[in-house]
Amino acid sequence: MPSSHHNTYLHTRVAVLSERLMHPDEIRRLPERPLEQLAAQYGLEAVLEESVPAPNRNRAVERALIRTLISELSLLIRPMYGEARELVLYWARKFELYNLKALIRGKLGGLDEQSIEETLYDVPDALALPHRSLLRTESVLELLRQLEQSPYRVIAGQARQVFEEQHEPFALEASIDQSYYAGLLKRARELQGVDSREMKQVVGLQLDQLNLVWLLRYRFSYGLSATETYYQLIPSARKLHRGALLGLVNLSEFDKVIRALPYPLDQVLQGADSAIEVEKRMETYNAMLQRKLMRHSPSAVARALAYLVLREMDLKKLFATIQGKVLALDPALVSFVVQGDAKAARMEGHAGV
Amino acid sequence: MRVFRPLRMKHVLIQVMTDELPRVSLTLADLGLFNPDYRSVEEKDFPTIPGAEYRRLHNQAISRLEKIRRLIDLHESLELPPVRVIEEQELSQLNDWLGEVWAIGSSYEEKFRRLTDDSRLLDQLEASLDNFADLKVDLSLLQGEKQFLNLFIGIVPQANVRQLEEALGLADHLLYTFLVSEGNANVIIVGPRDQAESELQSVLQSADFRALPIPPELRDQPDRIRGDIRERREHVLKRRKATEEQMQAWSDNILVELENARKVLALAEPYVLLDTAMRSSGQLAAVTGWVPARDIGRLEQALGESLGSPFLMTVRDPRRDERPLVPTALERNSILAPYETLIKQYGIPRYGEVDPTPLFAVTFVLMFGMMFGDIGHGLVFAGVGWLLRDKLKHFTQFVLLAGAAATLFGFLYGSLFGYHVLHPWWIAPLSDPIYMLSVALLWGVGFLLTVSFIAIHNRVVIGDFWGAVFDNNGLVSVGLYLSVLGGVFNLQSSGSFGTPAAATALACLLALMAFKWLEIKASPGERALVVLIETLETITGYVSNTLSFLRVAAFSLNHVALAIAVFTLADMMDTTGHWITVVLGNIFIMVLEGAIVTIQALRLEYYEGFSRFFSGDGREFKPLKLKTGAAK
Repeated sequence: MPSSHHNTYLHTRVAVLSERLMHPDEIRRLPERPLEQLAAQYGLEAVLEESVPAPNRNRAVERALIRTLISELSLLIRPMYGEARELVLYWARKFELYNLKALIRGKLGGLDEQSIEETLYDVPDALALPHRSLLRTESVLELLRQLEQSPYRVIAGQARQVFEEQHEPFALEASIDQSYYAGLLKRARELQGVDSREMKQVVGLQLDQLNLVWLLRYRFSYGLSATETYYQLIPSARKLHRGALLGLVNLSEFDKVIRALPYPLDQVLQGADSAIEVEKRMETYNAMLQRKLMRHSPSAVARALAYLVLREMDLKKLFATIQGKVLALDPALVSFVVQGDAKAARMEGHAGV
Repeated sequence: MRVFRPLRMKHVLIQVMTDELPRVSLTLADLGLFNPDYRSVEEKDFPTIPGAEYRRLHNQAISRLEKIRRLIDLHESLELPPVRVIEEQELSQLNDWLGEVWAIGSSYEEKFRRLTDDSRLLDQLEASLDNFADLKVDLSLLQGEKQFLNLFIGIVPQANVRQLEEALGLADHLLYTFLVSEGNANVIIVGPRDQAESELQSVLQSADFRALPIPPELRDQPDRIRGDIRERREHVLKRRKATEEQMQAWSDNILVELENARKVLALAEPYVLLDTAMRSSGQLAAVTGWVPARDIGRLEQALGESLGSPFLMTVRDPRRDERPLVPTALERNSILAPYETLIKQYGIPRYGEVDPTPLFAVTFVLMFGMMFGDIGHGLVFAGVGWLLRDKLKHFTQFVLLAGAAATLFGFLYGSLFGYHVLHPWWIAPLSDPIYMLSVALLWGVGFLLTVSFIAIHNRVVIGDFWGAVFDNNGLVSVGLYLSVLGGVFNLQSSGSFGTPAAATALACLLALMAFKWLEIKASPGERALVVLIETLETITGYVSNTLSFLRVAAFSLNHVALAIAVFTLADMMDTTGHWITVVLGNIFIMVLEGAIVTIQALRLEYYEGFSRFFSGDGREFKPLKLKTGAAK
């Protein structure tokens, strides 16, 4: 358990950093702001030069924003140690997993080294896979052999089955995600006392959103069976626990699933008729609750992770806005992606944290 | 004196025909005197960085060679042929060939991997069969297609079991774990056959389930089954051996070509390593770098002899603003080499700064000797260093010199393995501890003054004249230090600090405070606080650093005191016990005190010494060279 002065320092750090989060009104106005203004505010002028082709500019912006997030993470983990630090660092491994999926997808698809490299994120060395040596592999089997020597050996085993049996790599990517989030929840449980309790809330909020979206997509968009769908889910410590998920996967209609959701999710998602809409509403609801946790949780570590989750959401919206402007997309589309769901935002009374 | 100063460097700009760049890179690498300056020339004048495709081919070829070396042993060192330019076409062909070789090598790696997997599966099978053999169940029921049941027997990673069990429960299937071994669970899965097999297979695949074949004869003929497994294991071993032999034959066939490939890549490497230090604009290219001033002539001559077309070499001194970027090239000999390693733990001297290595070598050895003075201990130390010279390599000199210094001081103290049987050439430490402390104090004063003057010199070299005079460890600080020392000496000898000493000290103090006041840009209150604190820090720094050297005397006394303790214990024993205690006690003193004294001497060097004058943020001189070691 971190000592009290570490906690105080971390609480203060989170409080100071939280000033960087965008207010919901600010997020709503993002699509209306000129690109130059956004670039100036977030220090992106150099990467948004007109002379650079649009895809390269977007890539550079994405990388710059990830670097921002990672540098704030580095600040927050300084006063942490032990399992708390490990958990927050593990959270950041999601960027490593983006790279892992891109590498596997690229190799399975027969892409050349340069094409794959362009899709990779710059991740700090402490978090990074040895992606140089993975990139330089010259066949899928060689990539898998290298992965088998890494902490991802279980995924390598599954990847081999996918490759050898010519199955759709979707199952493999789903396994990677499932393995990651299961690991996150496991680490939250390993913390002590109030940190564990609060961290399970922070992680549980994300898992509830993911579980529900995955459940709806796998069951009703991809047509997977209840068995196949359940295996890919991760029972969370919040609303969508083991029992709830077992009940929901067996339902055969989208509406029934929504109506059978535990309170307050059933209220938040009332009337939603697509997985995209569910995802949007859950994200808004999730953000609202993460903000509450970030402001009021007695656990400094949980507050820190809640901040990082919110910050990542903000930076993703910023990136979506900039990407839309660089590619000259329909402003209505950009607004749809960026702006939260108004109804979910009004569900504060049903927070139930 | 050259031993105290790094080599003077010159900035060199070589303008040549673009086609000659590979030859230029080879000439530079062959000479081993050119440290590329990657800032290069102005991009607007020379917009292109040549050799992109060449670099790509080289990097890929090197990567392939490294992977091949995992399977095939090549010589550690490399004898290069006469230097020649490697054209891009040759490099491309070599890269393609290495690609083909690696494809074969990769197939061997894959074969070995599968053999290891088969072997592991047999282990799992054997462990499972041991369990099954004890069951009072007709094992034929577990085999083959069943009309009403789905039945799977296999292995699943333990981490996936719970989730799989619950998922299968949704399909009305049961999962039973009958053995857990090495992170894997051996399971039986059974359920009604009305479920679509493809769904179950999909879930099992996601869970990394692997089926285990259970021979139906297991129950009745367990020995036969075990015999089958043994045979299969032997078959795997045979296949492994055959594959190893095939691979050996294949590697023997291509060994010579691989060594040639290494040589070609080593010759191609300098062009790749120049990277952004070379730029081109059409037919004209420029290469920039740093060369020791004394070698400019050699460089010009070598380029003149190797290039077929005219070139222009422009040489200039480093500009003041460039100093942090100029690499530092230190002259080395075998005696100073181990000290260089220890210096590098702290950092590289900035260009123009005094090389601390000779000072470090002399002072370290003397302090070690003074703290560890004993003839016997010193000789043992040196003797052990000599015996372990193959393991210690260039650190052997370090150990020998330290041992020699300890031996010398042993004669000065008259100590042999703790026995004072010799008349000391100087003084036995315990005979006058106050005198020893005074000597240590004087040594500290001398050391601090020396490093302060070095700090002043370093500041003058970089043009920071104000800093050389007024900053910490500047002339005024030294004046303050000396005046305080003088005053304290007066106090001790005549009971009065002395007006000249006091006046000098006060004047220096005021000068320091005035400089800091003018330097700091802040509100008056903050300025006053910072000036006060920093001035106090300067004074206390000198005082504490001086007193720190008392440990040199303290450890020399400690060395003697430990010996006394050992002899006291030894005297309590009978004759045999006495000598055993003396021997073991001396070994204990050598090991324990040897380590402590080394650390203390290093600490004095780093903290009291280097921190005063040595920035440690210099760049090491790393010239382009043809590599004859293992390919990297």
